[in-house]
Amino acid sequence: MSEIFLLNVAGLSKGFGGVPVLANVNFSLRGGERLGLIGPNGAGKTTLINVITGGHAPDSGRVAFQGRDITSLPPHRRNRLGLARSFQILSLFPEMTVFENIRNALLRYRGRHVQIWRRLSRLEDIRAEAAHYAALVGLGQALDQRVDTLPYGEARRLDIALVLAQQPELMILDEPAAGLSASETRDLVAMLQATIGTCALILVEHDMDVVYALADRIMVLDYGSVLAEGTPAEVSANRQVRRVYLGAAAG
Amino acid sequence: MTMYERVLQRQILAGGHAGRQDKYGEAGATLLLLGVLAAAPLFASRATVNDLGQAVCLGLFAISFNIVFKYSGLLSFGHAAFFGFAAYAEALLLQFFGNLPIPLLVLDAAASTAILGLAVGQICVRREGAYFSMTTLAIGAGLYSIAFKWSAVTGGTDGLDGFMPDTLTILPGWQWDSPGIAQTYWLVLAILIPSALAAWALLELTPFGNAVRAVRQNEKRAKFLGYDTHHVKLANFTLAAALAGIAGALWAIDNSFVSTDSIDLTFSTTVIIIAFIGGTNWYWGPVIGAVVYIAASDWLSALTPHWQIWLGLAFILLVLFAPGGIAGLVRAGWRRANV
Repeated sequence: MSEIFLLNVAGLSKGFGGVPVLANVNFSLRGGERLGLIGPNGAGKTTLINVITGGHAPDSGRVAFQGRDITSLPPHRRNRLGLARSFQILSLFPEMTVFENIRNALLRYRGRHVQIWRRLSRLEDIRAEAAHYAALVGLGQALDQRVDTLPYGEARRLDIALVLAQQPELMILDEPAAGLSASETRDLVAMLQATIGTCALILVEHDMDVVYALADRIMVLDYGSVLAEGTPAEVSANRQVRRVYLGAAAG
Repeated sequence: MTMYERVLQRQILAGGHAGRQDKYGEAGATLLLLGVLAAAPLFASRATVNDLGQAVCLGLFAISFNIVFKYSGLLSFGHAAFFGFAAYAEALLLQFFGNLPIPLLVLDAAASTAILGLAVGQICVRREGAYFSMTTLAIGAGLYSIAFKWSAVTGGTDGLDGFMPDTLTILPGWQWDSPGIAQTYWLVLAILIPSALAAWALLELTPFGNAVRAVRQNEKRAKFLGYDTHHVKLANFTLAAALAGIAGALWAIDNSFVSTDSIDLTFSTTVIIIAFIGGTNWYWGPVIGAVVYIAASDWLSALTPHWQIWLGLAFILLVLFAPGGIAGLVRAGWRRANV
């Protein structure tokens, strides 16, 4: 009976300075499942992601990944289990090139990040693999460009390339379309649809078109609690959800 | 932004982008610097070679400080703990095992210092900014008072001398009877330069060095990419401690005298001044800083007993107007010439 979920979140609560941000959040995710996480500003979406990936310790509750309790593991150990994330506020290696950024992700994923007997510049296989991931996100021509000179939209895609390069079991994208133009957003959705494959996804996003295009299940968070959960059709028909988040126009 | 972060930022901005021109320039400057240092006894006076011997040891020490500063963004205020510990260790090793080869004894002192660095780093490296600095300061002060009080081992305020054997064993079967200043200087360089080059290669050419730089640039992202950032910083700190250990051990050999001067807190600030004078953005910059520092203190102390005031003033001006130090000024001139 007890099916092993890829991710299992049980009774998660978290407060900051006495203000509750997450209150008894429960949900599960199967392998390959794509969950859209929506809700008004301050609903606790980013906090939930931080608790799942290890950025914050919860006040109570537990997080299990592939049947293993990871509640007290630091972020780097969770990453090594197959959990990778992007950031709402861009978090890259600004003084390195696009190639070097992806290489940082690859060297770690391949367990070669602390080698002291190899020359960094001679790792041809890593170079080829990095070029592959750069091309996947449309940065094939920008490999040797420094990241602090990259246009914002391209930096956003690089952020996702770092996640893809580690071939995670679960990728968590925190507002990947934030700040992108309409056409950039369309490109991003197409790129993600083509590259996610069998990887499970948790997608935090305000742009509902992006959510509908990528998620096969939606969870609505409001005041730190799960307000509704279901297929996109179920959630968008939910009266409460329309009142607190989608607004009357969504109907 | 705190004062500390601003200083750090200025240092980094002074570095700018490194192009291909710069790479050749830096390689050329490195060869020139090391070549001049190695050839110095051929044309310089005995007194100058004597000073240079001290300067290169201080230079390696300042490189060690700068490895923590430049590659991990941490400002150590107690770095003399490692230098002094190694100097005492080397003095005692020479006293009791003076017939063993010198490189082995230096390696021994460096390994002990690396272990000390690992233990100290375990405490300090988890902290950031001013908290890291204060922790290193406290530990530096602690080690100083041990050296000061435990006179049975360290000689207290008198220090240790007379530990140099008359005959130095360079390698098994290769001995020097009462070597001269130039010989000792070359012995020091023969250990010092390869050590510094090895640390440079580790940091600039290998995946390990890449991890250190990635953690320096964005620790949060590195963590979420699976890097154990604490251990990466700890490894870099330990590497720096080992290098400070080599510097301290060679200092003991070069000076034939070790006192609390090589472990006290003033010396921990001297090394910061040296690194900043030379320039923290170029790996070898601190060596230039050490040569200039020794020369300037010789020259100024002959002119006035208050020489440290003038040196301090010059340091303030340099930090304000040339945050890249002497190496930064040279680099700026080189870039202008190559436009």
